[in-house]
Amino acid sequence: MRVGEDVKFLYFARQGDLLASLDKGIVAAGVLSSPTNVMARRLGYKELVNIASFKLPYPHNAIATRKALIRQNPELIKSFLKSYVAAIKIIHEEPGAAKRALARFLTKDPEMIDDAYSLAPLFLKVPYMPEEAIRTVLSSRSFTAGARQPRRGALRRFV
Amino acid sequence: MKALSSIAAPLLFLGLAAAAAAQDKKPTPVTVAYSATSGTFSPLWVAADQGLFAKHGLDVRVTYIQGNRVLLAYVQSRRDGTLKAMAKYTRQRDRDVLEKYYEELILTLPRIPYVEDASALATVEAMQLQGPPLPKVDPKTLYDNSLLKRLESAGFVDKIYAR
Repeated sequence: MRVGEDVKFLYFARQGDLLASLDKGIVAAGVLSSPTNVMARRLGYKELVNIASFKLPYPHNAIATRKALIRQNPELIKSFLKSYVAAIKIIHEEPGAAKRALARFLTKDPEMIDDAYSLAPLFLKVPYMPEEAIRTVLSSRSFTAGARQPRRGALRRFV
Repeated sequence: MKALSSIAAPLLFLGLAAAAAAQDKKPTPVTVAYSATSGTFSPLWVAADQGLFAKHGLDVRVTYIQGNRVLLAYVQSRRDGTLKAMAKYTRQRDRDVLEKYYEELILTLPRIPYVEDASALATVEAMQLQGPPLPKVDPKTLYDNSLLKRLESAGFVDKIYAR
């Protein structure tokens, strides 16, 4: 199938908009993330594939900041990452505490909390950005030769 | 089967911005933004909820930002400015490739962002699913397109696009 001819991709700003469009028949399929996938299940939609199960090398989430801030205040970056890594430990070892945070920031719905918590294996104990993951991104778009060097896309020294 | 769906963890980015220089012994104020309500932001939320940022000397304000809507009008009306920004942040220098991306992007953006009955109804249904029970509401009572209509009738939209 060819994109633009057989298949058309649409961008939605929010997952909720995508679900609404699915339900109104505006689109035939969509890629949903947790917890919107739970809402979709409740509406009767069937999961065709869980892309996370492919374990594709891909940066499922990332932290971005300005180079200037890293230069000016490396201690701040280090402190942030220490907190982030400690939080990942809690996610792996204390499901109750992790779910309390999800209840505070994401949703009060227990099923959605459990579904969101199922992403826990995605969080590496030491969250290095694998070069392979960056390579996947670079290979999927047209970047200039200078930007095709994976190491330029991630700062590993702090982690 | 009603439709197809698949599930994936999205690619998400955090924006980290320091507010002011650190002062001795005072936690450094930092604003950390997340761009989607998704479980992939769990480490950020757990760190905030468990007081880990404070433990490491940071006074972190966690905030949700949905910046894309703010940029809709700019993207639609300022082709050159948008192409320039795309070139800068994607490091793409090929004008043809950038223009192709732009043409695809522009197709999906509404010129006048009216709320449609169908999307309001779908939103109410989605809220019914995830929140406490809501009384029956007429979706038409939840939005007001009249201001946009007045702007359109007065020629405001045509005027800004004509610039």
